[in-house]
Amino acid sequence: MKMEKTIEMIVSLKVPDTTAITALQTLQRIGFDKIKGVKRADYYKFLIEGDEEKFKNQICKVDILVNANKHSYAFSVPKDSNVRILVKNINDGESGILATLKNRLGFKNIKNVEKAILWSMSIDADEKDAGKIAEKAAKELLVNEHYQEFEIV
Amino acid sequence: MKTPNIAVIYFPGNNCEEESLKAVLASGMDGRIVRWNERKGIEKYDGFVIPGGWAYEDRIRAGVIAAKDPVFKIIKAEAENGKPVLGICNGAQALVECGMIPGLKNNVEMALAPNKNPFISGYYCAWVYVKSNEEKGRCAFTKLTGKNEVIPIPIAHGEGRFVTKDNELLDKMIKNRQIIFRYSAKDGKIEESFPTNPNGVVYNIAAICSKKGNVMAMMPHPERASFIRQLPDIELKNKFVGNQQAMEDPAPARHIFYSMKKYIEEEIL
Repeated sequence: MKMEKTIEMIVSLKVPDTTAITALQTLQRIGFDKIKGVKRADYYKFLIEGDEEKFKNQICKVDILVNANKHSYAFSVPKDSNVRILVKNINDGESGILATLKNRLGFKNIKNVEKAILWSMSIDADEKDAGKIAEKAAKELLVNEHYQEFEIV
Repeated sequence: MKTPNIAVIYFPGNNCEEESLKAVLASGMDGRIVRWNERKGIEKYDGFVIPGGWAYEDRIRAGVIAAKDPVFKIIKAEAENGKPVLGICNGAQALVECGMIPGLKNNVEMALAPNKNPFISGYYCAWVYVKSNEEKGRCAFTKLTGKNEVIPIPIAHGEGRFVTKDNELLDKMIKNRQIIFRYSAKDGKIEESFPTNPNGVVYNIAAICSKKGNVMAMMPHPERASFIRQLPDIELKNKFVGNQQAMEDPAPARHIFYSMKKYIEEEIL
């Protein structure tokens, strides 16, 4: 039996991200003045069988996920002091991406794909308060809990 | 009597403000496109239309940045005074994101989630039918539309599926008679499957009003179905070939704007 592995890929814009800028401006306007910076990235979680390194080397070249002209990518969440929130649509299976990767692009070893948005916030507060502020910001702006869910990662 | 004066609120990224204004004017009201940052004096208008498009490019989520804009505080206050507010498509998304619809609690009670369509993922644009679900006059926008009246109307959205995690909310809205239009077949039959229900929405919901009835969030576009010339019915339009004036005659969805006028004349002026 082949071993299944989980691989995360984080795809960010190299160019200024107007959505992240708008999120920061809106958060500050509605009272989150301790939030000093907001970044955003697409987050993919692949469940695969087979060679992990080979998969990573191939998946980062799929231009429907990573356009080398404007995106950068990483296979792990950066370790820094920013607070990160992962936002995912509920009951929103990524069957479209999965079908495209498997059937059109030949990634037969992918078993599942999850897509989410990874928000990263620089907050002028200690770790405990920063987490609370991030959670409040998520509830007030970044997430609509009627069809999305989030976790602080 | 004074003519009702409507502010069509323009946010950066909207693209239906001109058609919305035309429908307002054709319905016998005065109106003007008012930019989101022209807030001074906006409370003098008798009613508001929040048009469709992509306010703020739908950054974060459809309608959410517009919903947090300071202009909405004024619109919300004016709605509490009874003034009518019509949110069309992206405007409907903003009304939901700011909590004005369904407006039972003072917070966001619903979302407009991505469409569920068996054939097309994402944005979907088509002519559909909606059926009036409540008696004439239940809300400010159906004073001239009888129950079960069917209207041809276009939709054009990627996130038009009203959802909520509150299991009791739909029942409350039905009990309060807040579901104003439902997607139906041409003969008025409610079918839950595609294409009658174009986005997989529960209860075929196309438009919801506030409890008081003066605010309505509508995903289809009545401003694009307010003139005979806009309808896709070739047989009907062929009758008017060469008669430009007849092409400008009202199509059924114009009644939503006529109703708004009547409501303002009766309740606001």
